[in-house]
Amino acid sequence: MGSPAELNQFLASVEKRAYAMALVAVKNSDDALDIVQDVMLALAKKYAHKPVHEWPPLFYRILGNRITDHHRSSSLRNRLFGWFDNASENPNTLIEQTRGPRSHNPDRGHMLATVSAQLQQALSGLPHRQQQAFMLRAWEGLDVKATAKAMGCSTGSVKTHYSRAVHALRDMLDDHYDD
Amino acid sequence: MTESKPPNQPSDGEWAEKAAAQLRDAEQHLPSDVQLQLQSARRAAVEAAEQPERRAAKPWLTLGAGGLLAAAATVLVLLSSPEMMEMPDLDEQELAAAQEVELLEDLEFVAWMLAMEETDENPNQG
Repeated sequence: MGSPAELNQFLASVEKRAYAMALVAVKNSDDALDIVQDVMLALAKKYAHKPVHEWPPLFYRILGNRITDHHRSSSLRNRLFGWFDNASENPNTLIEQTRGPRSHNPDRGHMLATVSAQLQQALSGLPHRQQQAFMLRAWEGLDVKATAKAMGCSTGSVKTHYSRAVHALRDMLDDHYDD
Repeated sequence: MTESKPPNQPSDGEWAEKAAAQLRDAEQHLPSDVQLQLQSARRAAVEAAEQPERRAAKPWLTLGAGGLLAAAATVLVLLSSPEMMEMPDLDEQELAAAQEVELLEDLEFVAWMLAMEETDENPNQG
């Protein structure tokens, strides 16, 4: 079991990356912050007693689940408001009444500052599982086994998702990194 | 996985590493307000990890746990004492005796009632 100091150290080592991953996945900085905060709390409350070496896959497993939950709730919200928009005779009224998307702070932006827009857009456009596989294997540097644990699937599935992700990104970005 | 890229182009692994390096660099240049909020969230999480013991000490939880223990202890005592759980064995004579006692009590009550009625009818007697 890790000490509070070790937990603090671990969270400090992953918080920025987790935020950046969540930002790429949900494309909204406030939502990304909420997700990372939620993941940190969940790990601290439920899994702090686990051995320290088990924290990374657990942390990224929770992160993946929270991102999936976010996509589901966004999808539901879009369908609901889409139905309202279609059903309304006076769409302007509903638009005025409906709470808009969460604050989009133009100063903070939705893009990671030093990442090319093409790469971020391409990564955001990948299917969720491919996105996860690429982020965990290439970005976080987890091995196949730890990635499988974090994604809740077999190592074979990880390899498939990762391979498809890399090929899709290369196709989308053409020769952006081929020089 | 077979790589179909021409020899002068990086392998999938090399390509992915270049992309990942750019992403890792980006995470070190997050806006300062985001970094502050992340630090704050981290502190809250670490504090939360230290709280479960305090949470268990909440009075209603203690009372609830105590009540459950007391109930469980009562049930155990009842189950472990056969005299409380088994009905007494009554033979026919004892049953008959019990019924006689009831009859006697009834007779006493009837006699008392009759006496009261007589007193009411002749209040000056007696």
